[in-house]
Amino acid sequence: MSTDSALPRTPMWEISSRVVVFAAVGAALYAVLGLISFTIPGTQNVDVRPAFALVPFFGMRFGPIAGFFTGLVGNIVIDQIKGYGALTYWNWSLANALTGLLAGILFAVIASRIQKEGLRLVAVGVIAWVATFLAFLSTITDMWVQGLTLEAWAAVAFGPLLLSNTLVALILVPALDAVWEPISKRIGR
Amino acid sequence: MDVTPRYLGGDSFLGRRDPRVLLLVPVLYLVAVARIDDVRMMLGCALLALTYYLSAGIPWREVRANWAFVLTLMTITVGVNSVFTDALQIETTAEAPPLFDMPLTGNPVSVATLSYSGTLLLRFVSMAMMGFPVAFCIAPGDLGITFARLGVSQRLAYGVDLTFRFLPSTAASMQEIIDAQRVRGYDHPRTGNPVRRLKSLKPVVIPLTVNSLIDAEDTSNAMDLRAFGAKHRTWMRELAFGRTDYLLLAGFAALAAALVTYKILGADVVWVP
Amino acid sequence: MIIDVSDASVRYRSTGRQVLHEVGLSVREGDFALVSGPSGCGKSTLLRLLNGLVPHAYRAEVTGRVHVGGKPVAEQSIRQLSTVVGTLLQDPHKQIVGTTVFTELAFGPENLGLPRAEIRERIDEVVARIGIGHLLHRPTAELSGGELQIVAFAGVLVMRPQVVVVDEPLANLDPAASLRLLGELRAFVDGGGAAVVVEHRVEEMLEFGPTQVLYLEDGRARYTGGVGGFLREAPVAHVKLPFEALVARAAELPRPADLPATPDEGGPARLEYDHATLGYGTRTVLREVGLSLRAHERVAILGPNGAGKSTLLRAAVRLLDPSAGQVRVDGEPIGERSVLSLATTFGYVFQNPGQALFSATVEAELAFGPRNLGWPPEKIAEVSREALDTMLLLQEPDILQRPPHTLSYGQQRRLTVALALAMRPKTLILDEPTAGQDLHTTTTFMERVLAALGSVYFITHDVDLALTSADRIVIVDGGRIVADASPAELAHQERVWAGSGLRETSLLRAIRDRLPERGPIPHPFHLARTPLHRKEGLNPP
Ligand SMILES: Nc1ncnc2c1ncn2[C@@H]1O[C@H](COP(=O)(O)OP(=O)(O)OP(=O)(O)O)[C@@H](O)[C@H]1O
Ligand SMILES: Nc1ncnc2c1ncn2[C@@H]1O[C@H](COP(=O)(O)OP(=O)(O)OP(=O)(O)O)[C@@H](O)[C@H]1O
Ligand SMILES: [Mg+2]
Ligand SMILES: [Mg+2]
Repeated sequence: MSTDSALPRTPMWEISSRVVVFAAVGAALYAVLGLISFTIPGTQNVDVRPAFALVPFFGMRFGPIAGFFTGLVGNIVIDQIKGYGALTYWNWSLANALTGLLAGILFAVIASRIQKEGLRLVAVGVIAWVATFLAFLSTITDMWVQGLTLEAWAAVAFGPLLLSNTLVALILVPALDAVWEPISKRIGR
Repeated sequence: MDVTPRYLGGDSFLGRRDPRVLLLVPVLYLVAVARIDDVRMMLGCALLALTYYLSAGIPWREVRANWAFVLTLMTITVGVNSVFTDALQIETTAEAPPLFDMPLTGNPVSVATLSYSGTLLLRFVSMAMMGFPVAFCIAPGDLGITFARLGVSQRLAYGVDLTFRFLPSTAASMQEIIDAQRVRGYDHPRTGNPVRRLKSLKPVVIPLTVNSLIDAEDTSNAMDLRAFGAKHRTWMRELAFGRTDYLLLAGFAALAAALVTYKILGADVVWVP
Repeated sequence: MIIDVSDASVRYRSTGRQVLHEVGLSVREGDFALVSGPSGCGKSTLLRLLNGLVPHAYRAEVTGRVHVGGKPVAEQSIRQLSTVVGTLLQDPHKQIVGTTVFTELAFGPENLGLPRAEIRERIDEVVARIGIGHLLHRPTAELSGGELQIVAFAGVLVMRPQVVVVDEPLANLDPAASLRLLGELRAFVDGGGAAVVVEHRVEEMLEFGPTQVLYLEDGRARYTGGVGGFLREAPVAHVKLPFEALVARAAELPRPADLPATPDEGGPARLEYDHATLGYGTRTVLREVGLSLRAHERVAILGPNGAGKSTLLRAAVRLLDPSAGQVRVDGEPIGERSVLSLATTFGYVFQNPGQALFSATVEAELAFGPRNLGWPPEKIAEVSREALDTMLLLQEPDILQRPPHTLSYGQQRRLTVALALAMRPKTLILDEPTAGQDLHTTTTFMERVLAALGSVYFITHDVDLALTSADRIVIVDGGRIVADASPAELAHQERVWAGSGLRETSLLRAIRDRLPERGPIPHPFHLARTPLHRKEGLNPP
């Protein structure tokens, strides 16, 4: 929390109470909405989780730490509620967390200065996608955790997920951002 | 689906442990069993995991549903990956003659394949067993302090507590919003087109997020106004390792160390009778 | 002198608008200051000035003298201020962070890094003082609105502040709960503390003897001084004054139009509950309800927090189905009506205005409902304009392109009604439409709504609103309907107002004293002008 009202925003890595609250809210939202998911017809394992949009969104809007927390805690809680233990797929929770982290960093360095509405929304979508792509590469650890072959990992795990999350990143993230922008201006923090 | 955390194993053996133990032990176990190939070795570990799980005293009927879900899901994954397709890298060291070709996929199945998929299944199920106590034997209010004592930033640690504070209210307002949209004629789409379906979720996802965020502004103000945000804060809950706690940790640490060396020495291969 | 503010001006950087102009306020030990004024006049901003959120959390320029606890606010961090000024927000759901009451109370002292023994001691002291021992280990998620507010207040008291500032504490509370909270507040002041309370419900406040009143109007102090003077000078159209004060100022009261009388005897039954039992899962909220609301009726639903008012009306749009008995709409069992057909019968406006808004523009937001009904674009455009017009939103500059969430709270409320009207409903259902709004906003709002449709069912905690804008009052309590009559009749049944979380208001007493048991209720201003002896039977001419 900046004590000098002239400062524009709180620094990226500061854990202010604002960051903590938004991180917690993000995780809770992700956990609750994450229970809504549907499978793309014709595929047996492409599972679309709309709430995933929250992870890059929180990263971009409330900083990498909030994004990281949202992804990590949110996904762990989802796994727990759904039933496969909190840690069983720890590397996927980590990938979620990295998405938020990367989105936060990328946004801060690239897009935070963009003024034009349309341009920003495009940037937001692209950053969300890039962050997702990079972060979920880390699930290659499945080769080690589950003993999958590279092909299998690409075909069964990474590919489908990239497909579904691409949709989410490009459709829902900009929509969220478009609605939040004017509100954040009005709240004036 | 009910999202409020359930606290089931309150006064069991594990319930009485320092919550940090419940968090650390599964991690050690993870290290121990990762990459184990020999099904006999894995079986041993699984039995240990089972004992650990049972000592949590989680009532069966409470988690029946969860287990049903986990078991089916994991069986399918392993089945698909190993028996039906050759998605798994099975060490060539124990080349066994194929027993038969899988119908449909025509994937050759050998004793090695079966033995290894057995290993996998055991690994996943036992990891789930180790995970359950984390969810059901740590009192809801204790998570924050647990992470704080594990060296996580005090504020982020409190964030974990806060998450569980927000879970029920978020679920409730989601219901409210779905209701509010239903009276405006909103209904779940019958379409299979994923893009349409994603779009159709906007009326729920967006207001829920936006409202939570607007409320969060006030919440963070309220927290500041009650002096939140110092590097150090008191936690009413005190945590202290007892002897049993140390023993438990030491035991699993030893197991992890042993198995890791065993793997490094390469003594671990897929078991073929 | 705990609070010493003079010539304070505030300008928010985000909008560049100055929202406070040379305001002054000084609070000593034992003071109980009431701050009032129309919405948007800067009350909350003033409180933010006192607790340090302005300028520490909000980007704003502050000029003038703002001293709290003897030091300038700008030189103290919010943390330091938190032990001098305790703040209670309007909505306890946002203030409470603990999962259980105990953790909630411990939160503040924990942040101060106090030793555990002291924290425990402070909690015990506060819990004993305001008597919430029975709640101490309950999960906060399960508390009622009133309980939450008290717990939030306790969470502020454990910080041992010198002064508490409270922002519209009564907005969502039933009168009895409000009474309890204000009582605790008064006790705190008498115990050597001080309080600054922002509140629209002036009458409730007066019972607790505020020592000074600050009345703001668009950022300027319109009145500063004692209560007596305030009652003489306050603008009658904007502040709900006790009836006695109205009588005293009868001469200067304007002559507003009375409510249009509803046509015929209320018409056919629109919504019937036939031994309907309503609840959630295993939890029964309302048992065997029998009630019939007509097609041309203005019905007010009163009752304590958690009585089941919202539950009752939610059943009208099938948000929950009766576990026993039947609900009928226009004579048909509700089960045979689709959600869509119900949506065109009942326009339902929820408690929290922002709730369902999701579109990027007001236009798109308005179109959502009608489009679900499959109406063509030109019809949608037409009904949208019409709805906005009725709710006095059309004259807002390019309203159609505004993002809904950027409208003011009051405008959002009117927009949500417009959203309902855009579906051309026959009857409008409103859940606490006027909570936390000033008198003027409330009256104009209700005028518009009642003008739009002759048939309105609304839930409220505001007894006077129910008396003046409904022609039938239903009181829900203890899982059943405890009263159902015209305002005039009900006003004469004294015992009704003793229970059900209700309280007698001065207006209620006046109605009982001055009006017969039946017949319409004139506008309070007219009533204030009618001399006492007019009441039949008192002293016949
Ligand atoms: N964070 C902010 N940034 C910019 N403008 C703001 C901010 N908060 C409030 N305002 C504006 O300042 C003015 C005063 O707002 P404030 O909330 O103090 O009024 P209020 O008297 O509390 O209204 P209400 O009775 O509706 O709560 C309003 O015009 C509002 O739009
Ligand atoms: N979705 C829900 N699930 C379970 N219980 C609920 C739900 N909604 C409300 N309740 C419970 O039903 C009871 C009645 O709730 P309701 O909202 O109808 O009361 P109310 O009269 O509207 O109160 P208020 O005046 O505070 O709005 C309360 O005890 C509440 O806790
Ligand atoms: Mg305000
Ligand atoms: Mg209600």
